[in-house]
Amino acid sequence: MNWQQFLVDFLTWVIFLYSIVLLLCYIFIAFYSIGETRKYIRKSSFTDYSIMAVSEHTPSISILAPAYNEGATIIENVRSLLNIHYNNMEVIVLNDGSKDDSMQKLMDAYQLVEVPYVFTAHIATKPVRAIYRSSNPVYKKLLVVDKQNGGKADALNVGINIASNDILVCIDVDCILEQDAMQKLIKPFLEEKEKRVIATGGVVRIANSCEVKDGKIIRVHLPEEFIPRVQTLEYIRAFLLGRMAWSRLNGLLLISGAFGAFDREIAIKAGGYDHNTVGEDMELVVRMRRYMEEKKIPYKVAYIPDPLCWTEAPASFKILGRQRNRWTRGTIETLKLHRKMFFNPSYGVLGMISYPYWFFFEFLAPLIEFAGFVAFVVFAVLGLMDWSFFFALLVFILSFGFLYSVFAILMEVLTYNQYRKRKEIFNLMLTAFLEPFIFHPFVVWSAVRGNIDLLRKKKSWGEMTRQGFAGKKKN
Amino acid sequence: MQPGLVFNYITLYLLDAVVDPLQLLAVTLFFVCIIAGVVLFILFYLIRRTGRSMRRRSLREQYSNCISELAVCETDEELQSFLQQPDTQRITRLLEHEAFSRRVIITELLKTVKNMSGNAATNVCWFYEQANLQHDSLLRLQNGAWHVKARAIQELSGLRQNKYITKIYRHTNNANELVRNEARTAVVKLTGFEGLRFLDVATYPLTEWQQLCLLYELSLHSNRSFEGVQRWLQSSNSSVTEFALRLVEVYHLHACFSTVTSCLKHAAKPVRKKALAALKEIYDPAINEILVAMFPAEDADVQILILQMLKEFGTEEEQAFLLQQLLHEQQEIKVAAARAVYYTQPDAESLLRQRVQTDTYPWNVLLVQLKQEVLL
Amino acid sequence: MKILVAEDEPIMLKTIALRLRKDGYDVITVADGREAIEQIEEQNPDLIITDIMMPYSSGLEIVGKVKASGQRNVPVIVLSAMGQENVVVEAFNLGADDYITKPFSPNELSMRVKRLAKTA
Repeated sequence: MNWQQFLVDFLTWVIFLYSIVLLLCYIFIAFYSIGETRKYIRKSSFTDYSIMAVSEHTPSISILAPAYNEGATIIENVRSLLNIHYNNMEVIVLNDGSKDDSMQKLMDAYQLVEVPYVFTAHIATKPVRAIYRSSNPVYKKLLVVDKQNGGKADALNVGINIASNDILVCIDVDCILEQDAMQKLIKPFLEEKEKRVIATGGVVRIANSCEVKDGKIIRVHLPEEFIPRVQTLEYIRAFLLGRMAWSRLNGLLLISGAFGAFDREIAIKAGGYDHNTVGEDMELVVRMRRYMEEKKIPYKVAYIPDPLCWTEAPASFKILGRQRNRWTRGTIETLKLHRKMFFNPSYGVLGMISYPYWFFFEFLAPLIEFAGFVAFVVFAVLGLMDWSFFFALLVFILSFGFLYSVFAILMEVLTYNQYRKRKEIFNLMLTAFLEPFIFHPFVVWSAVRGNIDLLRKKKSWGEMTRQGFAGKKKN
Repeated sequence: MQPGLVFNYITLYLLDAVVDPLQLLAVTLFFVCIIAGVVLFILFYLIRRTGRSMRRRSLREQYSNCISELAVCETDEELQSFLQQPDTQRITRLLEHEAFSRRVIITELLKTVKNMSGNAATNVCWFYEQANLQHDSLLRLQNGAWHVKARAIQELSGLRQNKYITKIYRHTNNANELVRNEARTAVVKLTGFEGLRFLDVATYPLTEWQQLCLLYELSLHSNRSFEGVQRWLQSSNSSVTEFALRLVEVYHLHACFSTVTSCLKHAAKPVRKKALAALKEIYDPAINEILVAMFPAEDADVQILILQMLKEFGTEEEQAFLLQQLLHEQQEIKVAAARAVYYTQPDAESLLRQRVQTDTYPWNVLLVQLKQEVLL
Repeated sequence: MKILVAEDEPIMLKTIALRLRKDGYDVITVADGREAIEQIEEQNPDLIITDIMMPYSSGLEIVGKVKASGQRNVPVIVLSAMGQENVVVEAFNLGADDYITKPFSPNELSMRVKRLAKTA
């Protein structure tokens, strides 16, 4: 046997194994998530969360809301944060050197006055210009920090320094939260005695086309535009199947930057957000977990599947591309920073399962897929393609993907069922059917571009231009 | 996470050697069958659910009218005439025949007693028995899965079915955490402080959540008895000790002072923290000395709690100690110490100005901040 | 005499309204904070009963608004499940005239309304 033949055989088997393991992972995730979801739903069926709002003994929390050029909606958004049903909380709005009139608007709407406020710089950050409180006692939970621009991670670090409570809740200021969001998000911190809960992650759902009034979702609709609609499906799959399974394994690596709670002490000890990466939300969770593993303290990262946080998803390929490009870079940077854990048994589930999964199936998958596509074109052009086999494999893969999506839709229907109309559910299925042809190749391409950009050391944030909910009211 | 599918075109070419296309097609067909099944199931489920949720809404609407009328009845005559009303009669007839409607009304009744007390609550509980609904709850307590049991316990206790307390008490040490929690909360709801006797034999830890629920239930009871607290403070189950410390804190149980003080030496940090919180409420000057003595060996978070206590109760005795902490390497401790000095020491401002560099951070800001704080 | 009741739980709202109508008051019911603020301006009630945890605006915000406006003499009763000391103190600081914690007795509420109605 010559070496060329050996190489081809070797590659065949590696790829074959890779594909099989990937498919098995999906199947495993789908089945493994069911038990966890069922348990959570059953538990919620009799839990009276309002005790979290009426008890004297709930832990105090600090909500950190970084804002950069959010002038269009900031007043309304801060108002809805202040109206969250939770007693012991402070809301810290971090104005990250906005260039628009956000700061002035806040000053006027909430009658802010500058106050002397000492805090400890546990984590080094860009300088704070001033700290404000409201002179109106109705808004006494509010604290506004004006700081020099330094990016989201930097703003959150300032928030970590300034926060006076043990639990931090990081949210995107433009998200719409349900009013009982904190009751549900904080509860996991109270449920463990043997392990330390270092973070809780919540679900982010897509608010495009939903009816919004005064910072509250009135009625949920499936997005009318195709791009946000596919993302709705993606989010359902990721949050209802993926994260649920990972949380059951206690191997969750990612908590959405848009909605998550952290143990302040551990966040500080782990060093806070890293402002050198574009994926600061994932990186922090990985670093906090790594810290706990290294200190050998039993810990848990909890996950709450209730739809409590709604956000506007990118509606154009351009902005979506930037977002996915950034996610890819964030993932790679995080994996690179923590490569020490790769198949390292001293990091437990984190090192042996979570990290390798992310490496092989989140980082490598789009690359392999892209390489495969190039190979396909080459083979097709050279006339080397076995078309009958091609179509057999194509329908196989497509049907598997569709099955996975339909299963996710089933879980959504059986659990939270946000989309009330039957038409919307079937629309979602149609979307699942179209996804691999229209949407998926673009996502892969964006991921590949992310890799290329990273190699070129590009570090821009990929600005998300927001239209603001106020402008999209439906009457 | 970006779950997507790998269209593996390399695989495609290479796998030719490994897999037969016909086999692939067979598997595909299998997938398609499952998809069809799932889609049909979703369709069926959605149709059924729409019907159910519409029915539930209409039932709720009817019941809420009925329950509010029931809640405002003041005399027995009013209650009897409420029962004789055609609407009520129609509803009770339906309750006899249909389990679904019974479930809906129990939920509504439970919600009502959660929010109302006095006559209104008594009427609601009376109606629950009158309509023989406790029979449903009992059946579910007996035969249900864990979440059904937990729910049944809530119903029985929420609607004051004291006669079934032994059936509920049996579950206070249930292996399932959630059933156990509900049972414990339920006995306290029904019998108040007396119900806490399960703490004597509690082997599982009480989570913070459980403690919150118990304290909330206790807050609704007026006849208090703290007979077991001393015992629980010394429990070998440290979460029981924590809970007892919270009782001391909430109800200002000065009699427990010496036992609480000994909890400051407890091995578990949460216990020590809660002991400090409790001591704040049953303060005695004798404690200052102990606080100063335990300070050096503690973690920063406990140290800050100690300084916060001295901010309330510090005397000139502690002056040297507090001033010494101004030089501590951790800023948070320095600041807490300065605050304690400012609030408790005579002529504190000049005392602080002598000790610190007033033109550097944090002192330049802190002195202004403290001045404003005191004014508020 | 016109009383506005703001409460988001329908059974509670109906019961309170029924109880107060029995006492001969005119009752306006609203189910959320925003509607409450609108109706207070429009209808000029003589007394306000409000929950704290409601959609859109919290009851405390309503208290603050009423007491800072031309209607500051209108008595406001806060009716809430939140019994924490800091919340009660805050409510009174903002100008609330009475504070009732849930679970509450409708009869007691009626008595308190009567007492406040006399002074109003």
